[in-house]
Amino acid sequence: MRAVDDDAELMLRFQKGDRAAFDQLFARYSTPLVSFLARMVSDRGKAEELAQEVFVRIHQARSRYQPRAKFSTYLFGIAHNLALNELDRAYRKRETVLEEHAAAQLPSEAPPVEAQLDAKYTARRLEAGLAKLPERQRAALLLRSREGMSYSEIAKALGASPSGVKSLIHRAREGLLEILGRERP
Amino acid sequence: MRGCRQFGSEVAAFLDRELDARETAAFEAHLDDCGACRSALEATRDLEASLRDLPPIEPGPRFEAQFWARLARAESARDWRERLRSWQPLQWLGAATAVATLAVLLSVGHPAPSAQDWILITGDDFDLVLETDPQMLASLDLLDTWDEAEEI
Repeated sequence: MRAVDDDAELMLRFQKGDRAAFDQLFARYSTPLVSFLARMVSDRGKAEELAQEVFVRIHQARSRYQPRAKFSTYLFGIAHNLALNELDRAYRKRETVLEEHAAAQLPSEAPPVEAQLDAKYTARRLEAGLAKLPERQRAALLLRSREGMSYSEIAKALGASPSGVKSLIHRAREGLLEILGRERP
Repeated sequence: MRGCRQFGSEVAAFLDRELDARETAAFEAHLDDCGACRSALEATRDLEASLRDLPPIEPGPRFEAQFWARLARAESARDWRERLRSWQPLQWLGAATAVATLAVLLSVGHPAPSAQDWILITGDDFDLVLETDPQMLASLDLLDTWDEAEEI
């Protein structure tokens, strides 16, 4: 079977028994996965558990793997589903509402001038703003901005249409700019 | 973001190079005349740069070890499920239970069928029996449920 990209090729090698190929995928995607999931569920510890679960599922599904899309699309599709399940479970169990928690950490509207120049401050505001976006908008924007995925790849990962993704990303950016309260972050 | 009603929703796709050639040309021509879209484009570009600059969130030092432990637990659970599924005594016990239950259900309110009865409930008449005898239907549903459980 012809691989769609280098990572899919690694997965096909793993399917044939090459464990080093899996190790390469694990090393390549651990940080992007944890970053994506931490921003989705606003909980680093939970994000690590979910990322491990993504790798477990990939490991166990190797015999059924078919490279129909880029490997990252397959990987982040699983991660997105697990994140939504986790958010749903947390919501149903009335656990800490993560978005509210993150929003509470949003700095006040009138920061000191020197703080505005601080990259860490900008990053904190952005992280807090991201956490306030609706889940699917947040996922689409993260996959586009952080992972560089195309709209059609994001559509496959999220189970949406490309035009739906275009709308999600547009609304996410518009919403984020509104949350940040200014047009230039 | 204060937006342009006509092209406001195209800003993100333009920035991401997701518009086709005709749409791109139309948007670029529009940009010359629309301050709102130019402003939105600049703000979105800055926002994207800030998003890209966010630091990655690195997994902790025990991340990999925890993954292998989690995988070992998952593999062990899967082995047990497969062993249970293929364990012959369990299969026979399940089948015997289903048959015994069916026999009890059929015997309650049903005299033992004669050879003629068996002939009567074959072929097209069988559907008729099912339609008129809910107890028989329930018994057959039980068998179907068992078959599905076996497949799982």
